[in-house]
Amino acid sequence: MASLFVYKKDKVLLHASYVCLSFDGIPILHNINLTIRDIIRPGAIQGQIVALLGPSGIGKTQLFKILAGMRKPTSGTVLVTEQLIPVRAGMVGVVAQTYPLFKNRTVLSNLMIAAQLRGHAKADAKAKALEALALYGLTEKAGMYPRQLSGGQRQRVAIAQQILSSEHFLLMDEPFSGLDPVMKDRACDAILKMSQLDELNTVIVVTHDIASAVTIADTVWLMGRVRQADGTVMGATIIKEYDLIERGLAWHPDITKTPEFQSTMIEIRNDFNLC
Amino acid sequence: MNLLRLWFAPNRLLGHSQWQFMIFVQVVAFFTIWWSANFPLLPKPDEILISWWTLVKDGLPFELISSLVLCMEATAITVVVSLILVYAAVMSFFKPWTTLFSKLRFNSLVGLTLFFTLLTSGTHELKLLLLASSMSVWFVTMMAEEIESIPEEEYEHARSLGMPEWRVVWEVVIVGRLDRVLEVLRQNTAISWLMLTTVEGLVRTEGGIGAMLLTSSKYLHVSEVLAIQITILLIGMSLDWMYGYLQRVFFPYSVLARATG
Repeated sequence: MASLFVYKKDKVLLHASYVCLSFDGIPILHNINLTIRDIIRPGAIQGQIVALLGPSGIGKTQLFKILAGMRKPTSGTVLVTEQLIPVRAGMVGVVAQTYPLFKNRTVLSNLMIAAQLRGHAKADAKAKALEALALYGLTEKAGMYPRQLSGGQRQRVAIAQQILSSEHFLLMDEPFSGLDPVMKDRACDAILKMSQLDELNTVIVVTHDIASAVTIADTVWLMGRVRQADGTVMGATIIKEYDLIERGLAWHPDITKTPEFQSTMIEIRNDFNLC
Repeated sequence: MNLLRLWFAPNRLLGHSQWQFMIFVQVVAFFTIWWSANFPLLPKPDEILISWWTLVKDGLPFELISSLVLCMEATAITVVVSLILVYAAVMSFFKPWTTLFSKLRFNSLVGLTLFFTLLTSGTHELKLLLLASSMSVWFVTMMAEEIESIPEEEYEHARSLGMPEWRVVWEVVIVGRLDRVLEVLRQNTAISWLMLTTVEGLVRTEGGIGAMLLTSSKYLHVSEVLAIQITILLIGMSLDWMYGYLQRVFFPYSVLARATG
């Protein structure tokens, strides 16, 4: 099934070229090249959601940290924003698996500090934080501490905090890990909602949950190991890209019921097993 | 019978009233056994009460105030010195010094008195130095462990918001762990009372509850020794409650129950 929507991929928002990483001479990542372009849909605000799939221990988290500017690659570059400037910590929002927040600050204060670090004055930061709380249905939790929140509420606060800090980019590490089906659906909704807030909003979800990845993403990258002829591992790289828009699997409310969804799932699972 | 089964069942949580009743029964049983038993070395509760009243008339409250003041002064010095040492350890250059200072807890105070006497000009200063130094080595050890145990993801979270590294230290290590300072202080208070009696025993000129305890012990006044020990226990429990109260007032997040769902 081809795309049901009119769209075009416009300017580059994130570009990684020849990213390599090794620890003490042991190769982890090898020549990773990837590009995310702004998706334009006439009459709709459409951000980008990319899922990064790969087996455990392959180096997804290391790539995650490099894309977030929190780790320098051994070689290669990562450029972000419309101006394509080298990434540094703080430019890309990061939501870790455990949704870390400042436990000594209230929910409102957690969001305000993110906005203030972005350069907003205190009054402006408070207005932005309250706006974010309303958007994620957390207004009544403003005065609570992170410890008083449920897992789902904590995740939404963590997303809101990173959005206030980074404006358009959000990296999420295993956002579906340990969630029950209802919570997983809510997490998917929160990610979709975030991507549709601004044309330039871009979410990269690192996961090994194939079904959730195909449900929300417009593009899926699969990581696998590169081996030399003698079997020596050279590190992990992106071995395959699945364009879910072209397959008619993006921006579709009942996507999971379509035969294309099932066939794509089987295809990715088969490729996954070969990684 | 059911009640006894409940009290001795493993991992069983008792209701508030059940808990109170169990404590009441245990206290009554304890004092009944104490009163009725005939241990030649253990004074009866009424003998301890009489000794305690004699000690009060002999100046126990003044000795207690003297010890409390010394303890508070030493605590203030300990907190300032220890926190400087612990926070300095975020810089590699100071880390070995902090670690070395922490290892000094293996040293005994006995023998160091002479060295400290030469450093100070009065007995109060000497006692203060002895107590603060012995408290500090434990405070630094406990606080350094608290900071070591901060998960890497907390630092990464702060960095992900674009905080410069010194701001990360401020938010995560200093402000983020202020509640733990109070908790360490709470644990350290018990150590301070343990050290206090030793220090006051080593330098007796200013008196204090430690000197009083050693004198009673020397002349085998067992009921007086127990009266002083019970007084120290009650003071310690009051300080423990006070720290708990301060924790609830100033750091409410540290005592909140975790939400589920």
